[in-house]
Amino acid sequence: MTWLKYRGQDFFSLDGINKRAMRLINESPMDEDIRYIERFLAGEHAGFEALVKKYQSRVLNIVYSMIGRDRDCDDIMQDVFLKVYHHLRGFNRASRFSTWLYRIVANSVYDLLRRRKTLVLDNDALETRASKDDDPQEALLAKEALNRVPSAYRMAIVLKDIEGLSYEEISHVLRCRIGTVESKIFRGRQYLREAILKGEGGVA
Amino acid sequence: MSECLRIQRLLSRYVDQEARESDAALVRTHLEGCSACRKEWAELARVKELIVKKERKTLPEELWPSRLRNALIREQNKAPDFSWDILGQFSRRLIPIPIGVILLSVGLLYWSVSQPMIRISTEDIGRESRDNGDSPGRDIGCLNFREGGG
Repeated sequence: MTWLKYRGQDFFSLDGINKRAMRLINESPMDEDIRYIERFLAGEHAGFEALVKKYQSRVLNIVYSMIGRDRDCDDIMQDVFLKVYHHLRGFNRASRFSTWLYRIVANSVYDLLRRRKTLVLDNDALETRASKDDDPQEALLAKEALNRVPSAYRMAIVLKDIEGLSYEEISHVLRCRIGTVESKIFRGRQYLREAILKGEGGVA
Repeated sequence: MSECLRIQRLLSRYVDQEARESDAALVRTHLEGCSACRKEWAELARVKELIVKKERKTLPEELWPSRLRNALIREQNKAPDFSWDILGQFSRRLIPIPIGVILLSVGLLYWSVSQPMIRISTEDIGRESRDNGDSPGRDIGCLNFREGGG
């Protein structure tokens, strides 16, 4: 038996779920993420879990590409999703949910990198888990090359090439101008090119 | 050469297919006639291809929802224990007390300094007693009494 607040109005609920709000949410057309958020705000925990299911692998891929350690990845992922859980009510929808989420991910990753000061890589973390179609040599080369890119440029590269975000979306995530994103990607690729050409036995 | 530098700045966006149409046309025209920039473009395209093809991890659907469920339960069950945070909050509430004590001390000091100073020494009191014909006595502070009484 709880009183729920939804869109400024108080509702009484026996099971913690606002039925009236749920009916409204299900009837009105809206973005999938917003629907999950509305369900969560109406008291349905499943709304939050749906968001987690949708984004957990994407968050992991960003974090893993940046950190390279499974143990730290778990800590960061828990930190990220708990922040989302506690601050979802404050999400103002000025940007897409994914942009807001990636910003939290980027901040958590940078916090960890600051704590670590220098990025020390586990050799285990470099083990590739590429699918059978991929060349394991290439996958390892890509991973090692990415780890040689300074973290300030690496985040832009990861968001662009691994998550497929546009320059504009990356500028919202990293809170910088599009020109800065362009510059970060350009410089990051120079590092990558050097590492890859060296790895392939070419001349950098 | 300056044309090549300009094109190379545009190449990253061109590889990402995010260059403006006018810039993309410029790059295409330039690449047809410049082998150095063509090599640069091919290398950048190769770099991008390698990273895009990098394997992605896929997690079991229920993994993090169940982990977070447990984490949230732990968070809710966690009783507020004594911590530096709590101490911090407690000490913040006590801040007015030392400030008040300091202000009071400064006020008292100011008050005592601003009073006219009267200096009476025991010698003065003794002299006054002799002038009045009283027997000399031992001066203790502002009191004057005779030993042996009487």
